[in-house]
Order: sequence, then structure tokens, then C-alpha cells
Amino acid sequence: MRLTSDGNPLLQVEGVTKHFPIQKNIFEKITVKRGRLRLLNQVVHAVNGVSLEIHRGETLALVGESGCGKSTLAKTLLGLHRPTAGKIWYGGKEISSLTGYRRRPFQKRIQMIFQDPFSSLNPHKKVIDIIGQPMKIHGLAKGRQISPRVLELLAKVGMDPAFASRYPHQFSGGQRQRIGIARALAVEPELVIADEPISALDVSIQAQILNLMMEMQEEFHLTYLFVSHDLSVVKHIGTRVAVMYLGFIVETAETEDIFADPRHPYTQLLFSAIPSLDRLEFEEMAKIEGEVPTPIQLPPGCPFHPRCPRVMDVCRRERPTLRPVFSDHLVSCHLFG
Amino acid sequence: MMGAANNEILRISGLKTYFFTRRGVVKAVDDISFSLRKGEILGLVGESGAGKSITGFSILRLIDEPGKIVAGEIIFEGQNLLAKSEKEMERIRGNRIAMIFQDPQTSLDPVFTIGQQIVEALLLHQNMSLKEARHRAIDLLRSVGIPSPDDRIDDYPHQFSGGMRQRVVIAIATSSNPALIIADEPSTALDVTIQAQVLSLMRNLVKHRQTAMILITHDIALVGQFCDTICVMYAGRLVEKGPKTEIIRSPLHPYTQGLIRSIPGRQQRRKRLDQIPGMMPNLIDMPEGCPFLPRCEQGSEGCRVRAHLEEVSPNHWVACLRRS
Repeated sequence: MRLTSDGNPLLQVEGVTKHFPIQKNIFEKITVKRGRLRLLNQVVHAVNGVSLEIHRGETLALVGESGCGKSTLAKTLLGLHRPTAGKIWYGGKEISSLTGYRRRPFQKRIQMIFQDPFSSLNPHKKVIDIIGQPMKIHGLAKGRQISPRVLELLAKVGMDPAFASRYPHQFSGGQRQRIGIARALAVEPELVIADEPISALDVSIQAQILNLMMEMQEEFHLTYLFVSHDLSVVKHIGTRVAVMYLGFIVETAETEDIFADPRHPYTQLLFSAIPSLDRLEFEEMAKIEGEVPTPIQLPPGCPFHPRCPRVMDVCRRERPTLRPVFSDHLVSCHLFG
Repeated sequence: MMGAANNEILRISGLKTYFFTRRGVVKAVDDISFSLRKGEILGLVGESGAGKSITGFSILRLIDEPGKIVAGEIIFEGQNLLAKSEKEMERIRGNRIAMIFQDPQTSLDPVFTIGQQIVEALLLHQNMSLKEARHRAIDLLRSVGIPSPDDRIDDYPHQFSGGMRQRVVIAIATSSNPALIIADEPSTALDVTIQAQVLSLMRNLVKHRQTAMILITHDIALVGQFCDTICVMYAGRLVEKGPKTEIIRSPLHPYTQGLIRSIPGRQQRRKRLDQIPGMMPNLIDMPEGCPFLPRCEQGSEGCRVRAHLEEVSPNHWVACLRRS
């Protein structure tokens, strides 16, 4: 599945950092502390120096709890956020600094499927316009060519082409997600970023949408970045997994490897906390202590050390880096230093 | 059945809650029966719109217009709740039966400290002085694992994280030592590691005090671990109920089977998942027959008559004509 031999990843991310300022203007910055005026400059450290590669044809699953920065990273790759630092290469070209018409060819190649099918479709537009407009914008079809292509796409995602003239509110969540997928595929993208594409759907519908996504990947030779918190889904669809915590990537490996042998204490914690049908006895989660710290003030050293059951002295001082434990299994932890 | 009768805390039989809307009658809960013993945790599973929450609200008689409980009996501690006056219900709600809601953000009042809110619940149902109530509130906060409760008791809800807020809600729910707790998706709004903490806490409290509990959720994997008994709902009906290992390991209703088979992670990787085709029908003016028929692979013409729950093996009940 994965083309490691050519050594050219489709997308390469190097040290990408995204910080959001909390105090946006001078009035919000001014505070009084001990009777003196001070300027506050706090930031949310959403993504901190993330480096990763996505290879053609693979499905990279990005997992983590809410607030760990996975959606921010996805949006930064897409160009919806401009990284505070770091670089993003797409097929050998640096794209994070591109804007306007220079960015446009890459917008066509990278598309997104959103989490909430209710807010991601324009309620004022008919399905045919929602799917057809991106084709027009990127010059893939115009005038009378658009309609037959939209109908064809609708049939591909399992919708009745007769629905083309309806509005989004006339559809159920699962059907809307199918429209969202058709919209993303309308511009013949190479990389599709799916941000929690099934978590807003009912259980019996989730499998349908997952199946559709896998079919589409096969048919259009797509590469997926699949952002999710649901590990059973990730286990099924991912070829490779990257685990995020507090804006850092703490572990990446092939899916089989990471599920068989999670190395980072956080990954182990995450995997053990998720209910699965394999074991039906209730297991005490007493060993999980504490909560995720705020990304405004990152803990010094390893971001996980305040909750880590195997914390050492060095973890409080030095920030670990991603290092290979074996060939393709990278862990950011002092236990494997 | 007779032997368990002493321990039985709740018995619902033939409960029907309908909503009379302008577009027709929505049979949100349509002829549901189940019972609950002391210390038992029952999981009510189903998709959104299956009628799980309405079942929970019906037990507390919290159904607003145009909804109405049209038939059935809810026997709680030997008394029929449907025959009680509104005043009598007020003494039961939050006292003998407590409820925990999905979103801890909205179930706490943002303008009162959590101490005031716990004390209010205590004073309402129990005969104690303000000072005693405050002491009891601190004990309760400690029992749900809130660090330094003496200080945190005067904090407002926004000063707590989601997981901590849910702990406060649990503290309020358990304050009057209820006989039954109804928890409606209590962990859905929380992160997985926090969810595990909160569920462990809830299970310990419930098992320790022999409180009965109804856990309403859409997550069948969660129910498999957390509960003792499982009831599966679909389109307002109870389609299967039984002990959890029976239901998870050998489900009999085609819907339960499909639901369990479609969960990813246990099948061959990157292959097509088993899926249930179609979606849940609109509940307005549903036909009498099996509601799952349009999506069922095993269905036939015979399924157009109503299937009632039947006991196919000890304690394992299924509403499917193909099974009986």
C-alpha cells in the first residue's frame, strides 16, 4: 500500500506550529497587576512543532482527544490557518506561504470532508450548485457540462440523482455527509482531509459512510488524512496512525504495530480507556489521574508528564523528540531515549 | 420472576408515550416493558430518535405537550407513578429517582456556586440545617473525587472542567441516596480518558450503595462493559432485552446483529464493513408491523404484523417473528 521506496511523500510537514493569540488588541492586552499596568500576551499553543509525512495512497489517521490540536493541524494543512512557524511541502513544493491564485492549484488537490454535515453545506443552495460550483471555480467543467457530472457523482456516492435539485435541509445526516463527500470529490483531489467525518452520525449510518469512503479511495486513488477520536474506526481504516497530545505528536507507527504494541504511556492510556466489545468485564480506570492541561500554559518538559504513570526526573525538564524505536515506529518519550 | 420480586425496584409495563403533532401521531415510546432490580445497571441502547430519552423522561413524568403517556404502568417501589399527583411526583424526583443529563454545562446553573446548588438539593429533600448541609456537600464532593472540596465548594460551574462538572452533577444526583438513577448519555460530552474516569466513579457509587441505574446511550461497546442488562430500542419499540453477554455475544434480533457487526475494529482491516442498509423510518404514523422490516435482510411478508417480545431463552427476550 505504502510507497516508501520512492522516498517522495505527497505531503510533508516540518515543524509546523500554530499559536492563537488570546488578547487580540491593545485593549484586551492591558491588565492591572499589583497596581501596575501590564501588557498580557498569552497564546493558545494549538499545534507545537509537528513534523509528519503523508504518502500517496495511504490513510494516515490522526488521533487524540478534543483540544489536542488535530483539527487545527488539519486546517493548517488545508490552508485555512497560516502556520505560526514551520513549512508544508506538497509534492516537493512549499505551499504554506502561498496565497491567492498561487495557492489555488493546491486547493484543488487538497479537499476536506467536515465533521458536521448540518453546518458544512450552504442551506440556501441546491445540491447541484453545492457540488457543481467547485467544478466551475477550478475550471473542470462549465455551463452545460456541469449537470451530468454532478449527477454522475451523486450516483457514485449512493444518492438518487433526482435529489440534485433539493436543498440540504431535506436530507438526513448520512445523506448530507454523502453530499459533502461528493462536493470534496468534485474537483478530483489527490489528498482528502476528513475531520471526524462520521462522529456526528448515528451508529448504523457510520459503517455506510466508512464503506463509501473506502470505495472512493479505491476508485479515485485518494490519499486520506483521517482525523478521529474513535480508535475502532482508526484501526479499521488507517494504514498509519499518528497520536497527538496537547499539540504534539507523541507516537506514529503502522496501524498493526501501534495497536499490537503501543509504546507511549499516553497511547497506552488512550487505548485502554476506550470501551470495546472484545472484553465485557468492567475495568477500573483508577490509574488514569488528572486531566488534560490547558494549552495556554504548556507544562515544561514532556507535555504528558503531569499525568504520566511512569514519569521520571528528566521528563519534567527536557522536552522529548520523536525518535524511532524501530524502523517505522516513532515515539516521543524519554523512556526510549 | 417471583423470587426477584422483593428486590425489584422498577417495573414498566406496556408504556406508551405518544406525541400528538399537527402532522400526525409520533409513537415515540410504543409498548415498552422492562424491570430493574436493586443494584442492577440497565443499558438502554439505540440510535437518536429511538425513544430512549423519552422512556427516561416518562419514568419521571417529565413529558410536555404535545406529548402524553397514553397507556402503561410504571411501578416504582411498589407504587404506580402514573397514578401520582404532581405534588407527590415532586417529592420523588431528585429524591428517590435522580437524573444525570448529557451536558454538564447546561444542567448546572451558572449563577450559583456549586455549593449552593448541592445544598439546595439537600435542603429540599432532607431535614437538615444549613451548616449540616454544607458539611454533607463537602463530603459528597470528596466522594466524587474532587480535589480540595473545602475550597472548590464556593466555585462557580465555569471554574470546573467538563469532567469535574459531571462529577458535581453526580454528587447532586447521589446526595439524597436515591433508589434509582437515570443517566442520559452521561459521558458523551466528555473525552475518552475522562469518560473512563467518570464511568468508573459512577459504577463504584452505584454498586456500593445498591442503587439501580438506567444508562441511556447510543454506544453499544460502552453498554457491553458498563451494564448488567441491555435493552435495545428501535423506532420506539423494545426489540431485544437480556443479560449483556447474551445480547453482545449471541444477538438474535436482526437490528442488534447488524449493529454489533457494523462496529469497526473487529473485522478484517480495510475491508468493507458489514452495514445496515437504509435509515430509521420517520416515526409519524408508523405501520403496525416490524419497524425494522424495510432494512431487514431476513424479513418477509409475515413481518407486517406486530411482533411482541418473547422469551426465546432464559431471560433473553426478542421481538422478531422469525425467532419465535
